Amino acid sequence: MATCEERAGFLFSHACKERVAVDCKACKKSICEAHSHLQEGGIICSSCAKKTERKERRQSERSGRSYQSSYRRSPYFYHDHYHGYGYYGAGYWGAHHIDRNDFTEADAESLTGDATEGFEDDVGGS
Amino acid sequence: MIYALGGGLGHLQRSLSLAKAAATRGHSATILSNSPAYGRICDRIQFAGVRVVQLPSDKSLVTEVRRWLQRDDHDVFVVDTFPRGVLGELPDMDWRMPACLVHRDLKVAYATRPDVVGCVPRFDLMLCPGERGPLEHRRVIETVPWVLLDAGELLARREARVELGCMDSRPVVVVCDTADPAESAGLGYLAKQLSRSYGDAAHVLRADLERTWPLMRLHLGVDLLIGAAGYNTVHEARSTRTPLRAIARERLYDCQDRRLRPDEVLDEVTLPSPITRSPDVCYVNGAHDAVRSIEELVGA
Repeated sequence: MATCEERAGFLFSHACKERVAVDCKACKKSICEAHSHLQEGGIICSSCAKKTERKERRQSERSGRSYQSSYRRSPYFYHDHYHGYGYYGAGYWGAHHIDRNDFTEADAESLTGDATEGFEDDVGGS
Repeated sequence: MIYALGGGLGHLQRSLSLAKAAATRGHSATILSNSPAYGRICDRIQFAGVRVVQLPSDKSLVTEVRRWLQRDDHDVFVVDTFPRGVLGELPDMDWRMPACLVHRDLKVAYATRPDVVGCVPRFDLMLCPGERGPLEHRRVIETVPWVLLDAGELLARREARVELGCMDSRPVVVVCDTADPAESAGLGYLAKQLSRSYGDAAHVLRADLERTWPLMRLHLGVDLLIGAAGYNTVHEARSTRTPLRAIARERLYDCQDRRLRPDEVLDEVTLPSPITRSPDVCYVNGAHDAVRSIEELVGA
């Protein structure tokens, strides 16, 4: 079974294991249904949709028009601006400094590592 | 006296669940803790009959532990998770009261060590709080999971959503906080990514230990919970039937990957769909059965 060639993920970038449904009109990559985005003139992949969105936003900013992504409700699509983040600083919800480097691919290794020795050496073990 | 030594918040919170249940039956409890998170939640621990003693977070705690075990004003000694203590300090100490071991799941490499297995017979009772590790004992009581709050103590969905600041009908996604600063920062990044991804389709909120603990109180207002797969997060979510997607973190002793069911694993590729949850729940808190078992042991 041919699998989707898109790499995407809301946390890390991953290979997609879904069955191929269509080819991206722009880059010709084989993609699954979930990574397909309908655009005028055909279907494009998530990566190309991101590029298109960035281009459209820049054009909108230059012309002074407001811009709203047509892909904003796609679960596989991550735009550069986002809504709702203001919640973090309000009311009962903590205002923390967010460092985009503090949860990385390298961190993923710590989630799957083998058991470590060092029992009874660490007062903070759990 | 509950011996709740160990990192994170889990040992302390499970012990609080037991202590609080004991208090409802007229007992008083002292919890010995070295949790680094205690300072962040101490103002919110207001359970009558429950006292938390914060021990040092280094090896000097052994001296403090010895001093506490020499006291004779407690009826039972409850040790959470580590039969030998978190530093292997307990084999050298005597206690003059019946003792219980709370045995949640543990790494096999630790639980099969001869010196660990050899310590287990010192306990008069083994309590398994909704899960069980590899250790064996002549007297085992298995209960459903222990949680901090009984069903009647949860805020109703409407009230919880008001407190969460989410007044419209959109689903509420909450990313849990954790005691470890690095992991907390990572969850903050995750919350940010989720917020970007959901857009206007859901509220994405980030919990904060200082202000939202115990988060379980607000569960009925939450449609999707995201966090690590620690004992309390997982069993609280299951008790309140709050949809959970969690990351199984690597721990020195805990087996978070074994705790999660496949449908609870946070898939890093697929964005979880928040589903408006059931507004009502009914569950049993195993901490109450555990207290009754302890009462039988000590003849209370």
